[in-house]
Amino acid sequence: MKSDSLFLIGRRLLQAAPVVMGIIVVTFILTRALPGDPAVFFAGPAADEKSIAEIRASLGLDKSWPEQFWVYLQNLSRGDLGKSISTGQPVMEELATRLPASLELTLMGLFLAVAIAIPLGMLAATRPNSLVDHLCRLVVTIGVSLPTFFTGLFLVYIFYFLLGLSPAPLGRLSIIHIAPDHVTGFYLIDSLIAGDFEVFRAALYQMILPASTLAIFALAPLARMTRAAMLGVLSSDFVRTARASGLSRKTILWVYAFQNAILPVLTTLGMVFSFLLGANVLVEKVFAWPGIGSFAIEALIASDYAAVQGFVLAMALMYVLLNLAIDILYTVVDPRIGLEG
Amino acid sequence: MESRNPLLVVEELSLEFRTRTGVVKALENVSFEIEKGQTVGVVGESGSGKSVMSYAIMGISDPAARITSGRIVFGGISLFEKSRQQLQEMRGRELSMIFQSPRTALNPIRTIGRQLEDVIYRHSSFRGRQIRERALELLSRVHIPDPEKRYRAYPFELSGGMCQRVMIAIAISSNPWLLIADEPVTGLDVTTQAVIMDLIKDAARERNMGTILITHDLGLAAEYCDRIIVMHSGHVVEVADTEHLFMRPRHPYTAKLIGATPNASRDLAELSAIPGNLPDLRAELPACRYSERCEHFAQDCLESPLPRLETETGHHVACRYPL
Repeated sequence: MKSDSLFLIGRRLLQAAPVVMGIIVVTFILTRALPGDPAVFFAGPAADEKSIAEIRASLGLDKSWPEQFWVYLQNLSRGDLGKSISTGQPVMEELATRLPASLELTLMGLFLAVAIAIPLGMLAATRPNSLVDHLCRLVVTIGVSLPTFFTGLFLVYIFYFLLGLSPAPLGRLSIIHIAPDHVTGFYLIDSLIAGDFEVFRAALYQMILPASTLAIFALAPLARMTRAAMLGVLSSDFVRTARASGLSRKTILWVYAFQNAILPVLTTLGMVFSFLLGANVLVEKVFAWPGIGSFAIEALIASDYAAVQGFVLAMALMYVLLNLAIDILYTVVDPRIGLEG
Repeated sequence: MESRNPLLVVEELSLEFRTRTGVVKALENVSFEIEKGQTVGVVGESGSGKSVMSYAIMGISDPAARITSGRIVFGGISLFEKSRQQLQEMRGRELSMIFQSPRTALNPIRTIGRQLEDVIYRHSSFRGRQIRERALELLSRVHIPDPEKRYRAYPFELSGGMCQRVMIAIAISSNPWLLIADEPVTGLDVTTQAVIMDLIKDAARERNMGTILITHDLGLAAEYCDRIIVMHSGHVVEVADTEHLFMRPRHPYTAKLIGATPNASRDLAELSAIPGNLPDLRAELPACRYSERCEHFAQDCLESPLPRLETETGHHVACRYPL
């Protein structure tokens, strides 16, 4: 059994390779197809034909697309995503500092959402039409109907402006704190590694509102799916068998029902995670979070295509990795996976 | 032998479902008894209340079900006086049940060994290594070839017949006094049917276990049961020893059921369908729920109460004008 799953995981990894290759091609073409000439933008309004041509040559944009692609591939293999035209910094470096900020926020949001949605969905399913069930319905409705930027602003208004409970929505740390040494790029983890609980607390406070904003958004589909999956499983034949065998309520609920209900929830989780990466862009704007979302918007406006290319590539790779992780989790939970194909 | 002390007594049991479209009177004044070691068949069309009745005995009725009257006495004690906790402990230990479609009746993502262990752990004092040994012993008891290997198999890796054997192993793991088999061989091929039925019969004989065999297959009931209960839309219409019932059915419905059952000595053309359908159990019902379909209908069949006669010793029929 063990070696079977390892084999499956290995095969799944191999399957991801052509996808990654496709992503590289698409990002290259996509960014070249964007409207606007980066050489003109970069040269500034006062530039003449000659200086624009010089800049174009220095950016390598005068070469043919296949040539440019070859150069792009070579650079990629060295981990070089090119320089951002607007900031002058290597794109790789920008991503390396900004990606952890976005990831930390997204994961925190997802964690909060899962921690609330799954128990809520389970309680709602075991007590249909009870108070918890109605609460679940309410939360789901709120979650799907409120746009994230609104939730974000609303939370800031209540908890920062009116109540003064939360720190100013100005990034990952307030100015009086110094960022911990870079290890993982996640402030919560790095501050713990450094043993600096003061910074840990500050970073956590800073994160509560934006993470809650994301969580409220992610909660709805998760809670609804958990409830529906649990209801389905609880009325299934094998739960009836478990009840007829006198197994305890706890065993039936957690071992028999929950483990089966978790499968569709996992799929939803993958989807929600990708929604969250998208929702991030607006939330980062509202909370001045120095993540890749805000970086990408600026790059897009400036036709900064090394940056856009880097961003799209990073995101796409993350989707691939995420789906891979979900698939692997699936093989671990469900022995039937891998039979087909 | 302590024969005057029935294992299970169901007494005037009535059960209804509260649904959005009305109250469904699924069982009405159902009464019968089972002795130790006896195999009793419950036959009737789909929707006649066979499964609802067995779930009520097991205490695993749907939340929408309400028992409105009657008693279920098991081993001399009324089950309705037991707490939920006590009932839970009795299920699987003293009362067991196996179901139709065994492949969906087992948890699809847990190995059959683990599922068997779960039940052994729950109901016995075996721990650790002993549980596994007991589980393997049970698997070989139900003639599962190579139990060591099957132990780690998932239900989807086994055939329907194998899964039903696992179900039987689970059901008899604590040597229950009563086994309810709800359509245990429906959907299995004929040779597997015989094997599974023989397993159930042997297990029952070894343990002097009472068995309720729920089936719509009269032939099967005739072959394996000592007594037969005929149900029609929530009523017990006839109860008799198997031989009596087939030799001389007294209720028109039973006679029709027998007439609708194919056997080797009869032409298919001779089979007759029972006219009409089961009545809508949400509506106002006549005393005899079969009256609408009955060829011997008389006006006073609609009048309450439904007569219950004992035409011979042990042969009960719920009909004003028995055949």
